[in-house]
This record gives sequence, C-alpha cells and structure tokens, in this order.
Amino acid sequence: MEEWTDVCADADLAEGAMVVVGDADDPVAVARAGGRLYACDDTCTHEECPLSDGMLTDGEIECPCHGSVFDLRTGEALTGPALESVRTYRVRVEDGRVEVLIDR
Amino acid sequence: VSTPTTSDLGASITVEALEADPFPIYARLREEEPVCFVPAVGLHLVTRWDDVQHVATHPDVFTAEVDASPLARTLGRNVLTVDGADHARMRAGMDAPMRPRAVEGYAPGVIEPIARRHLDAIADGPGAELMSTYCEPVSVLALGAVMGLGDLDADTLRRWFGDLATGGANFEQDPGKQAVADATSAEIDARVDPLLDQLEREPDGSVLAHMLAADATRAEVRSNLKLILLGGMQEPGHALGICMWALLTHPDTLARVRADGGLVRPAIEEALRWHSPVGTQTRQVTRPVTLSGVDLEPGDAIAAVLASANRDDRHWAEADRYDVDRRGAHAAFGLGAHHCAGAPLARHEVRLPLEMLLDRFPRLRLDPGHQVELSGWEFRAPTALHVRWD
Repeated sequence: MEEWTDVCADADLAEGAMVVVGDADDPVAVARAGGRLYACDDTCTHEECPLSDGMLTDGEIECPCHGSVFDLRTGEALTGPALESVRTYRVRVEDGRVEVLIDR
Repeated sequence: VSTPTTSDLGASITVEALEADPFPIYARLREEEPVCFVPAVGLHLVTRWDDVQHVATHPDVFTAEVDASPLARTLGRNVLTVDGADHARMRAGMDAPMRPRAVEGYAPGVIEPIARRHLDAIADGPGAELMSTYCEPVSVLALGAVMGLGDLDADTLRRWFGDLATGGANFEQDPGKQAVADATSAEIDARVDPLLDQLEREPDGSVLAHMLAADATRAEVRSNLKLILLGGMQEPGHALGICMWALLTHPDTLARVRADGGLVRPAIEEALRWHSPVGTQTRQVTRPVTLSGVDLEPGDAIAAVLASANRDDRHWAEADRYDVDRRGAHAAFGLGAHHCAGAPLARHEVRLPLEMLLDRFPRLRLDPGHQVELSGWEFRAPTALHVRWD
C-alpha cells in the first residue's frame, strides 16, 4: 500500500515556495513552481546543502551554496558541481492537502 | 618518487602541440592510454570522464597538496593547493560573497555599466577585436570592482593575470617564465598590501574584506588574492571569448539564441563543455593506486584533464559537437571540493556582456579577413576574435 506523507494545506504552498518534510537525515523538498507541484531530495548531491534554501525557477532548482541546478521533473543535475541526480517523488492534492509519496 | 614509465605516445607529446590544439591528443589518449605519463609536463594525464571524476572526488588518494605545483610555486600556498581543514578554512572567506543569491544581488549593477562603457567605445567602428577591447577588459574590471581593488586600470590587471598565468601553467619549470611571474607577484604585493592594511582597519563588505575577516594569515590572503586575480580575471574573459567564438562559428545556433533568450544559458554551458577554458585539476598520489589499469605510486603528479573529460564519448553523445540542446552537468568549473568558488559570478560575467553584445550588434559576425586561432592547454582561449557588425 502506498504511504503518502502529508505536507501542508494546498492553499499554504504559494507559487515559488518550498516546504521540507520527511526524515531529518534525508529530507524531501516539496515545491510549487510555474503552477506545478514538485518533490525531490532536499540535500544537494555535491556538498549536502539544503536545496530548499535555494532558488526555484520554472522546472528547476538551484543550490544556494555552489549553484548546482537540478531538473525538478527528473532530478537530473543540469549544472555542476553536482553530478549525481537527486531523487524525485510524486506529489498530489487530496482533500485540499498537499501529499508526497516518499517511496525510496 | 619513482621515475614513471614513459610510453612512446607519452614521450611524443610536447607543450607546443598541447598549446596549439590539445583535443586530438586527448582523443588519442582517451582511446589508447587514458592514464599516460607525459614527461614534457611531468604529469600523468588522466583523460576519461570517469577517471577525472574519480580523481577529483577522492582527495584522500589524490591530494591537491602537490609538491611541484607551479600554481603553489607562483602564487604561494593557496586554496587550490590544500585539502581538508585548511581548504575549508580558506574557502569559507571567499564562499559567502560568491553564493548565487548574493551574486544575483550585486553582479548586474557592477558588470552592466562596465560592459556598456566598452561597447560605447567600439560601437562607432565597423567591427573590433573583441578579446582585447571587450572580453578581457570587462572581465578584469568587473572582478576588480567586486574584489574592492580600487582604481587599478584594465591594462595593469590584464598584465597581472597574464604573468601569473605564465607561472601557474609552468609545468615545464622554464626559469624565464617563472621570473616574469615572480616579478609581477612582487609588484602585486607592493600594490595590494596598503589596501589590505586599510581593509583590515575598515572592512567594506568587499570580497577581500571577507577573506581578511576569515581565519587566514596575511600570506594566505595574498596567495588567494593572486589565485582570484588569475582565475577570476582571466577566465571569465576567456570564457566569454570562447562562447562568442562558438556562436559565431555556429550561425544556426546563434540565430536560435537571438530568437529565444532562454537559450543563452545553455549556449554558454555547452561552449564551456565543448572548449573548456581551464584544462586540468592537478593532484598528487598519496598511496599506491591503480587507475584505468595503470599503477600509480605515492608522489606521482596527476592532471585530471577537465577539457578532455568534457569530450569523452563514453560520457557524452557526439562529444566533439557543439550542441545547445545537450543536457547534463559538465566539468569546466572543476569537480569535487575544489569546484570554482567564483562560478556563480563568472556565469554573470559571461552572460550579461554576451547578451549586451548581441543586443547592440544585430549583424555581428566573424571578420572574414582574420582567422581565429585558439591557444593554450592549461588556459585556453582565442588569441584574437575579430568581428564585424557593419
């Protein structure tokens, strides 16, 4: 059975905002960018900075420390220094709540 | 240190051939000897993507603390030639003002007026040589302003980085080249020390003030400043020249970039992958290790060739092609903990002047009267880039 994690009320996640959920050792960032919801690992694969402190653009997230850019759809590292992808997760809105499926 | 075994291929490689065009040499090395001792530069060249990545991300085996480093010899012990706690300590002072968000805040206000002034100066003619009239002066003046270097003129700054680069790439230990670099290094100390004294008394928020406030000795700040002068002044200008050359030699791509501003960033990243301005990350082996079947001994000096990793067909499809639609992170800013600290600023220093140049001159093209030549292997760029816009 799929176990969805509650994130926040749909109305509380504004355009361009991010919320961090899940295990403190391996958190997940949930973002709304360009009207779409995304979720990916919050930890940059370069030097473990929190991506949720970085900048969101349409479909991409930039690490605040060294500027690595990840594709929010696929998790692919588009710009170094990070080379490894981040994992991405399914997000949905159920009964007005944003939920993420952390299925790793 | 053992004397490495030299193959016929390794022995055949000269500094002159590397500087003229290293890419055919790298292609042959990747295929035949991906870890190859080249006596002309005293280094094992590591040329495949996977090996370059491995070297750059295993500092316990491949340390940046290289005994015979021309960079350390020329600049003094600096952030690029130390690992571990010393690296973290020195890096902290320069990282804070180079965070992407911080750079986003100050970079356009510094770069755009400088670029506009230099465009104004050349716009009345039918064309210009871009490296000396635009790419390099804008690069050095922008960095000088960000660092807080005061009113040093562009020609002085260009000479400084050129002379430091001569020493920094002097793997062949040519005494004449070293003398040039050492004289300029002394000149820089004499000019900058009073400024450092003043910034120590009255910090002004500049990068230099951050570096002085961090836990570093005066000698380390001097050395790191010279590293920044070399890397930060020379390389963004070289990168801009390479990007312009890539676009001007690929008119279809240039037309697409002109039509869609969203393609400027990918066009720049792909140019830096395709013709990486900084050639290598130099490392020294700390314990016996085997890389691509080659046994390396403690003390062996390694060049992880970024410019070659970025052309490895094992990692990139059609790696020799300039393709703005390509995706994936390249190695041009280095890999691992020593990834370029100034990359976010450098990307602004390339993108903003490039956009302004294209906007200013809708008919920009290469001058058919001049052949474009690129030179260098450790630091590579067009020696001149003659264009016309009439």
